[in-house]
Amino acid sequence: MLFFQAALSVIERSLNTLISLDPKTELAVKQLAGQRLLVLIKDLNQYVVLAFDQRVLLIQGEPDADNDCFLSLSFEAIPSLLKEQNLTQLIKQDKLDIQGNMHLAQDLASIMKNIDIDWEELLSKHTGDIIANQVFSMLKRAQQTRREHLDKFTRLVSEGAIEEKRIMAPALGVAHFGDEVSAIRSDAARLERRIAKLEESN
Amino acid sequence: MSENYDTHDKTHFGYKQVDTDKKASMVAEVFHSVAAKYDVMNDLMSFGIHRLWKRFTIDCSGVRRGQKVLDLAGGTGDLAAKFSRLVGPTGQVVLADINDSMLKVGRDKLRNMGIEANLEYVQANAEALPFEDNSFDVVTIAFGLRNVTDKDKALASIYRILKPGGRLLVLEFSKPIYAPLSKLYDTYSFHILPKMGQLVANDAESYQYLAESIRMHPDQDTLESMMQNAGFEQTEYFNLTGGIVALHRGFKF
Repeated sequence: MLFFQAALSVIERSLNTLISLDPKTELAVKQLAGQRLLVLIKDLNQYVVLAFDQRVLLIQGEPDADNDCFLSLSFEAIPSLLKEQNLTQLIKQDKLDIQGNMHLAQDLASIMKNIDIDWEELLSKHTGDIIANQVFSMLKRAQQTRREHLDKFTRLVSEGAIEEKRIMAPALGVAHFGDEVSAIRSDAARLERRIAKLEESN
Repeated sequence: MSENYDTHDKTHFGYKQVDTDKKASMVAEVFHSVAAKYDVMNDLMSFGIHRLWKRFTIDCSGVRRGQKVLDLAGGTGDLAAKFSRLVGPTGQVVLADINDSMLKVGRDKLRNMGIEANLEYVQANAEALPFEDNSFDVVTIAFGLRNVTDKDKALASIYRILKPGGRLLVLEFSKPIYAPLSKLYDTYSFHILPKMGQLVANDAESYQYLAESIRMHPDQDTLESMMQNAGFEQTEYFNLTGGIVALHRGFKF
């Protein structure tokens, strides 16, 4: 019975920790103080209230009228929700339903998207500037190397599949094929219209 | 039938029989003693699970912005802190406790958290609450009812101050529903808790009282009946952690 409470507790702590690490995000959340967002997670048929104060409070909710905005969504829509511009698209695809103050949902999505934590600055409080800088430079170099290896591997695999094993078509070939199919489709449609006209005149 | 009395002027203090008029002061001594280490001990004794029990209580409260909430026997203010945020600036939370040491710890803690505006602190006896009739939307009492001398009187007092439509939530230790869990729980309560109390709070006796007072508290069904006798309707209870703790809820209509 307490699993949901445990999950909400973890999410709430994580969220508030992230918020506290970025002063801009902290300020943005404070501006939402006093507002409440009710979220229905369709997959679990559970309501969660996000109550905004200096931090965010998550509680298991009841469907009632004391909320500024109501969102109904499934788990798979949550990552897309963080990309604010997809709100309208998600609504059109029936993956998201919003009632009430849409700006609250947009503001929250914007806040989560724009969290920008200066990890180096945080580390430097414990280790000093020099060590923090060296650690992060190392991490950046490692990330760069990993990206280069991944690009190389991807290139190798695609070239192998296209040029050597010929199990995949090159991108230009696929595009050309698509264009030819579209041309045939419009020719067929034109022909159908001519046949229909001829039948009418007969 | 109430489990408060064996004779008219004797009641239980843990496993001991004491004069009824002495119980409150004996309980007060316990809580004066444990106040400073109360939160730490709660975390240690329950392995942090008490936070989930309290979270469940808040989830069941249905509290709304602008409402008035009484956190009775609220002690160090765990529930009051969250209620304060949920009722917002137009609502009000009253943190009440009979013990001023606990109230001071709670007040200092909440002020350090920056929670001040909509919070009021009142030293009050649950059996004779100093509030007007029909004045609260929600009353919660977490791990406090078992320490009250006359529980029926306390329930009646709470009923009086609740608004029509208001709800009472009683979070309290109860009777485990599984026999093996019950045995484990007894071992833990009587052998490990007092030693923990001695180590952390330098007070084994108070934690011995804790274990004993839990065993003397009414079981789930009995407490539900007591609430119904006080006038509460649509009463129900939720067993948490195998019935070690139960949350009782009732409404005033």
